[in-house]
Amino acid sequence: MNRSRGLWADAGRRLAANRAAVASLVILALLCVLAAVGPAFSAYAPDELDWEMMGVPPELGSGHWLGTDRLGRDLFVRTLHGARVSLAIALLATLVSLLIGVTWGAVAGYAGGRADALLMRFVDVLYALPHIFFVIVLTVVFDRSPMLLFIAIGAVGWLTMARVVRGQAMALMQREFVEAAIASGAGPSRIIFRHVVPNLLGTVIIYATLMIPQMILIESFLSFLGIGIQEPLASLGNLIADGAAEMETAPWILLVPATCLVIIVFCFNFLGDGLRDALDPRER
Amino acid sequence: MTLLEIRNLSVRFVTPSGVVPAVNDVDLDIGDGQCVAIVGESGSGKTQTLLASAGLLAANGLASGSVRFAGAEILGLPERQLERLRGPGIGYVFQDALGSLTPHLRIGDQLAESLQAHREVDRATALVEARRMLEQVHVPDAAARLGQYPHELSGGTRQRVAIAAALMPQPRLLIADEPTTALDVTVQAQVVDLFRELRTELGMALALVTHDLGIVAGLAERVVVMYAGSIVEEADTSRLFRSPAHPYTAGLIEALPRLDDDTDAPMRTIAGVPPPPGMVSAGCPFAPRCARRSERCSVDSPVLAAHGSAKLACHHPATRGGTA
Repeated sequence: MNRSRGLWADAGRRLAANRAAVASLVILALLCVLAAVGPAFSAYAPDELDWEMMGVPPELGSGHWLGTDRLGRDLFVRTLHGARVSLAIALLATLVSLLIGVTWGAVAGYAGGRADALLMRFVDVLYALPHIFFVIVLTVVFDRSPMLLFIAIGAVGWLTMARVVRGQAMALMQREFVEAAIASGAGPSRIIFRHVVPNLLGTVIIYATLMIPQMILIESFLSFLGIGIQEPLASLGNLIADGAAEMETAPWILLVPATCLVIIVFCFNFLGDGLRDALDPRER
Repeated sequence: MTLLEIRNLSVRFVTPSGVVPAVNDVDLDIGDGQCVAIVGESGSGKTQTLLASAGLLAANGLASGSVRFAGAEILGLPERQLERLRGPGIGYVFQDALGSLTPHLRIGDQLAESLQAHREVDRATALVEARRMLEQVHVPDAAARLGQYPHELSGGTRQRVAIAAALMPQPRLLIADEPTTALDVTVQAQVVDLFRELRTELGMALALVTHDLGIVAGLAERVVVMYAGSIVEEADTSRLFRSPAHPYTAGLIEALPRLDDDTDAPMRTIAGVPPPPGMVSAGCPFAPRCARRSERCSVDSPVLAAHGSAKLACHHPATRGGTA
C-alpha cells in the first residue's frame, strides 16, 4: 500500500527546517540524557559532603567542575539531579493536565448545552481560586512529597487546557465530517476521540510545550519558598534558593542552577514556537 | 413494501427571533429499492425533510408527525438506537465531499471505520472490504487510494469515497443530499451513472435531494416537488416531465436551458422569490408568483390531493397532455 505523507510528517519536516527549534530540541535531549544518567558517572553523590572542599568556585582541576556549595556538595551533580527532578515533575504535571484538560474540554465541546455549561462553570470556579495558595494548602494538609507536588500543579494546570480544547472542539463539531460521522452511525466516544480530538492535537501539543516551562517555574517557585522539594533532594528551585542566600560571597552557587533553569525554559519556549509554526502554518 | 414512510412531518426551528417552520405536513413514501427525487428551490425544506428522517436535525430543530423506517418509528428515538440505524439502515451522502471526510484519517481507515462501527470485523478484513467498495464506485487505483489522505484526491474522487463510506455498512436506504452540486458537469454525469449502477447492483432505495432536473430525469422513478416547506406535486418522473400539472413544476421545467434555444433570448425564470419561512400567509404560498392565480388562491390554501396517478396541491392545474 502506498503510504502518503501525513499531516504529522509534514509538520515534522517544517519543524526540522526551523533551526532554533531543532537546536532547542537537541539541547533539551542532551540535558535530559545528562540529567538521567550523568549523576551515575560522577565521582560524587548529590548528597555527599566533601569536607576538604567547601564552597570552592568552579575549577576543572579540583574534580568539582562547577564548584561546591557551602556544605561541600558537588554542584554539577546536584544541578543535574535538580534538573532531573524539575523536568520529571514538569513533564508529569503537564501530562496530567493534558489528560484531564483534553478529555474535559472535548466532552464539554461535544456535549454542548447544559452539560457544557456545567463543566465549564466548574472550571471557572477553580480558576477563581488562587492557584499558589491552593497548592500551598495541599502541601500543608498532605505530606510534602514530590508526588503530591506534581499532582497539585497538574491539577491546576488543566484548567486553561480544558478551555482551549473546548473552544476548538465546539468549532470542530460544526464541521461536515463530524456530521458525516454521526450520519454513519458513530457513537459519542468514537466521534470525540477519533474525529474531534486528533484534529485539535496540534493546538494541544503547542500549548503543552509552552506549559512545561511554566510548570518548571511554578515548581521552582514553590521549592524556592521551601514548600516544594525538600533537602537533601535537589530541585532547581531549592538550589536557586540556596544560592540566593550566598549570592554575595559565592555567586556560582546561584549562577549554576539558575543558568540551567534559564536554558531549559528558553529551549522549551523556542521549541513551542517552532511547533506552532510547524503545526499551524496559517498563523505564522 | 414501503421502506420509509413519512406522515404529517413538520419541522420547526427555535431561533432567538421566534419559531421558524421549515417543513409543513409532508407525506412521503419510499419503497424498497425505489428511487425518489425531491426537488425545489433552496429553502424549500427538502434537506430538512430528509435530515429529520435520519434523526439528524440540528439541536434547535423540532420534528413532529411520524417517520417510520421498515415499520419502526424514528422520530423521538433515543440517540443510541439512532446510531444503530444510521449506517446499516440509512446511509447519508452530503453535498460537500471534502468536508465530510475527516482530514487526518487515511481513506482506508475512514472506510474501515464506517464498517467497524457496525460490525465486529478486524481492521484487515475491513480494509479488504474498503478496497472492494472503492472498486465498486470506480475509484481508479483503489489499493493506492487506501493509504492517501482526503486532500490528495480530486473532487470527483472524494465524492466517490464519500459515497463508498456511506455504502460500507450496506444501507437499505441511501439519502444523497445534492451529491453532485460541488462537482463539474462531466463528473456529475459519472456520479449519476454510478448511482444508477449501484441501485441495480445493490438493490437499495435512494432518496435524492437536488435542484438539478437533469439528474432527476436520469435516475428517479418518482419526483416530489417541494415549495416553501410543502409538497406541491408528486408524480412519476416521465409523467412529471411530460405534463407537469402544478404551475411551479411547469415553471421549473420551462426554466431548463435547451440546446436548441435561441442564444440571444433571455433565460426563462420564475419571477419573484419564495416567501421567507414563517411568512406564509393564507392561501397558496406560490400564488404571488403564479401566472394562473385567481381570487381563490390568495384565500384558500390548496391541499395535496390525488390527481390521476399523481398528487397535486393546486386549484388550477395545467391540463396539457390530458391528465386527470
